[in-house]
Amino acid sequence: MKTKLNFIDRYDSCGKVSDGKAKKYILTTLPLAALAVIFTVSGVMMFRQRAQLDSRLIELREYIADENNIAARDEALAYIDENAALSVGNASDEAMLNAILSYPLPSSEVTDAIVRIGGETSISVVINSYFAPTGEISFTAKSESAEYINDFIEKLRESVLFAAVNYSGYTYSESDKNYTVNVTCALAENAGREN
Amino acid sequence: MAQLTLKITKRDKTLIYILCIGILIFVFFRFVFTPLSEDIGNLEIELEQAENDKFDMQSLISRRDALITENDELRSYRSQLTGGLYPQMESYAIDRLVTYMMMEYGLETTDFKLSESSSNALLRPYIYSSLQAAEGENAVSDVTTSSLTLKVNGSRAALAKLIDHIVNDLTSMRITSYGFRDVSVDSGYDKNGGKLTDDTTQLTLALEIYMY
Repeated sequence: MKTKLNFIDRYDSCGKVSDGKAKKYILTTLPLAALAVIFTVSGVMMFRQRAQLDSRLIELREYIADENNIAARDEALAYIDENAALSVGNASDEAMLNAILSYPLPSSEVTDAIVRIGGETSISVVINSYFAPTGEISFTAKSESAEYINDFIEKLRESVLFAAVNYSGYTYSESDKNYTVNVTCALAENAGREN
Repeated sequence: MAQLTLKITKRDKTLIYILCIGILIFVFFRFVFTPLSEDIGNLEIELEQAENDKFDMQSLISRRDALITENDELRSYRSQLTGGLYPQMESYAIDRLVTYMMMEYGLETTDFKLSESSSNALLRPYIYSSLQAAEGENAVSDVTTSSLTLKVNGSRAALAKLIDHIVNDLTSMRITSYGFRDVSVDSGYDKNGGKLTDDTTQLTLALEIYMY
């Protein structure tokens, strides 16, 4: 028996479709139609999605490439850099000022106070020197009595002006009939800043 | 002559039909779905990157006003901090500054030695200070400074005033040491040609000048 190469059953010669053939026709056509619908719908949806993404991307790129936006961004970036540099500079200057201000002030307020304490104990004082790294102020004190020297040293130790008071004994001079003592006091942090 | 004949059964037809549908699906996936899917994937990556870029840009732009305000505050604070400091100075400017200061106090400068001109140095806080106690070795700061030593002659009172001025009024100038010494200075000649001397006090003063 010869069979023509026809994948779909044919209509009969009168153009009528028998029930069996109609069923066969539907069974054959329906999957193809369903596939066509699925392909079309999914294709259209994907094309549409791509178009939407494209459109959104163009919009974003326009925003990013806008000269005004670029200028504003660059300005902000420049401010960030400058502010960072200023912060570092300020921190450094702040540390420097704090270090400078941590030192006592060897002014006449301090030296006058030493002379005044000497006066209270009948001692004459001559300021000799000051050395900032150790905060030591050195002076020579003279007294007619060794007892006064002890009182003087005691008063210096009681004073809030000094963090430490050092002296290495006293000497008596026949020429001026006086006891002489060289005293070195380390100034307290706030010496000279009371007022 | 033998005639070529092909006998196709119903089962064959069904298989061929299924094969055709498979080919259609393959063609669709291969030439439509996959390229579109890749396109969409790439676009989504680009979009995410672009959105991040836009977000970064918008964040920066929205921060601009705050950054400008912060900049003003930092500059203002800097002016406040450096208000008492000298700007960077050359040796001759330091010489002029100090010498004029001595002249204002009626003092005579006999020696002026500028050991360093605007060099970077480390400044430690005072050893008995709370800052040193709190921060120890960390409390060291970089400073731009000039160190100078000078000898000045004058009365004790005038020298004390000078020290008070430096100590109380000049934040950017710090006395690192001073020492008093009684000296005799030549003050001319008498009628017989003999030298006349005046007793005075000599202050040896070491200073550091801080600059920004």
